[in-house]
Amino acid sequence: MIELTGLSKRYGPKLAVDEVSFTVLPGMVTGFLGPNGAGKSTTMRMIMGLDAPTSGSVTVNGKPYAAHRDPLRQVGALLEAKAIHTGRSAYHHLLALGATHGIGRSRVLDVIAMTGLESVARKRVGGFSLGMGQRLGIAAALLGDPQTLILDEPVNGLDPEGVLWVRRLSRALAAEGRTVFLSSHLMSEMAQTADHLIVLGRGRVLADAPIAELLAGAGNRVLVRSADPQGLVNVLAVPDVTVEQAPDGALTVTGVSARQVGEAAAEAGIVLYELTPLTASLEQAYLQLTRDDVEYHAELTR
Amino acid sequence: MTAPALAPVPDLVTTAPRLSAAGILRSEWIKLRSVRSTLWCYAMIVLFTVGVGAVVAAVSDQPAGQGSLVGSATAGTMITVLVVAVVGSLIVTGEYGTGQIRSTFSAVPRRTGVLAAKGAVLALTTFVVGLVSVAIAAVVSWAISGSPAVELSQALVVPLVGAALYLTTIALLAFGLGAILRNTAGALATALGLLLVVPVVVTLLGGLTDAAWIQTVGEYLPQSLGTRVMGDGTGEGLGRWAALGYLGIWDAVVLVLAGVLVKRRDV
Repeated sequence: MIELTGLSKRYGPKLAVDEVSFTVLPGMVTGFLGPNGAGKSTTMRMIMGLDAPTSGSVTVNGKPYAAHRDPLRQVGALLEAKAIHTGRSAYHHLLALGATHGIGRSRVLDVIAMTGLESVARKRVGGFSLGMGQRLGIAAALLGDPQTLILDEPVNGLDPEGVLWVRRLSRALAAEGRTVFLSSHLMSEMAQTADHLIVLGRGRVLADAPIAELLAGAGNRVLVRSADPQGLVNVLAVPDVTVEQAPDGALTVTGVSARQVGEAAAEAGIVLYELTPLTASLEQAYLQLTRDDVEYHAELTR
Repeated sequence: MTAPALAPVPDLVTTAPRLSAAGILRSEWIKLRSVRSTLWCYAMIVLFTVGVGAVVAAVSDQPAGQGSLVGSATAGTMITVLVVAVVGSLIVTGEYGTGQIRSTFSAVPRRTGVLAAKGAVLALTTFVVGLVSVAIAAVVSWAISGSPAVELSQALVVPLVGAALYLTTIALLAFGLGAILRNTAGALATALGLLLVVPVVVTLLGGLTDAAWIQTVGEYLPQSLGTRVMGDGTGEGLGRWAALGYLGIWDAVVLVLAGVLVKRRDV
């Protein structure tokens, strides 16, 4: 479990993380989503005690990370690809990391096998591809068999099979009751992996909700094609309903159900060729959230 | 690369893993010996010490004896002191340069233990390699100079141990500078500047101005102190152990500052 309370980080004039509070619970995969520069990595570094917060506090499994006697057992972290000395082999990197906690060779060989690095384990990390670097970072995160996993952009640079592997691993670890917290800028990846989503924009939490709730909140839309698009636009010109018209006459209606559109068209005697409900994607939900965030900031500066 | 099958996470069977001083020391020892650059540097120390010693012994016109043996065995120190400065810097700036430091501090989030363990491993390795190097150089010099049997006396052994200690203090000084500056180029420039450039500047200024205090400053520079530590101990001024003490003060000042900064800074 990870708990952040009023966590802020200021770099000079820039507030990178602004009063962030949330809890990452065990037994599920929590996604951490946000555009570049939103403060995701900074937040993760503060959880790991690498960056000191300007204000606020953060605990992992009940204590500040640095207060644990067995940090690697508490949290395994992949903070960025290749936070690893390029002149050392993968095997020796893991061996040195594990040695701090008395974790020996057999466990090192286990995580090398788990991450599929057997063939390159004795080679120097400097020659690794981005994908192999990510696998090694994940191997290091798993080394202490940790209760909590923090993975910053774990699928970055992985091939499709690797992406699938990370997804299954995250789900399996969460199913064992562990806390899994992973960031990604890939909304589609989150939709398939995460149970719960925390969206960060400009250092603030924009959303903290189960995936299903975020999708529902995004609002459904209806695609309509009609013999009389303009007539239909007039019929639908009521508050809380927006209509976008494509050049080919297709209308995208937001704020009413397909059924309501069909009934309104029948009442007005307008012929419909197509009436398709569109489910909001996570991506749309996400864009809507971050757009609101931009507007919010624009109001502040006015 | 083939996709690995998702193996179950095997549980750790041994006793619960936890941080320990011994573990951190072992970790730093693994790190030191698993990077080529440090191994190369230590190989160069042996090579230069023995090589320079052999050349000096071969061309020396001094009467063969203990004094000339010490002189040739420690002659290479002029060069190897620069090499240990490189090792000392690299051992820590290499971690900052590659991002490894974030992995290291994730495993040991209190950080100070890492600095202490790195310093201890560096000091011990440098002392042992330094001592073995000057010992080999002494034997080789003895063989080359064709001296008669030389007694293994204090006058021979103490300066050689002094040379190894001098190398060790300089390695730690460069290590502290590396931890403060976090950058290989900066740390090396500072360390080599202190060892090579500052003594020349001080000597020049001393010659030009004839000011006594400038000469005094020169006495306390690491390189001058090192000459005392591995000298024959007969000259005027600072004695061997006093000079070693001042080198220790240099180290202490730099390492304490490094410790405070490493603990406080973001990585």
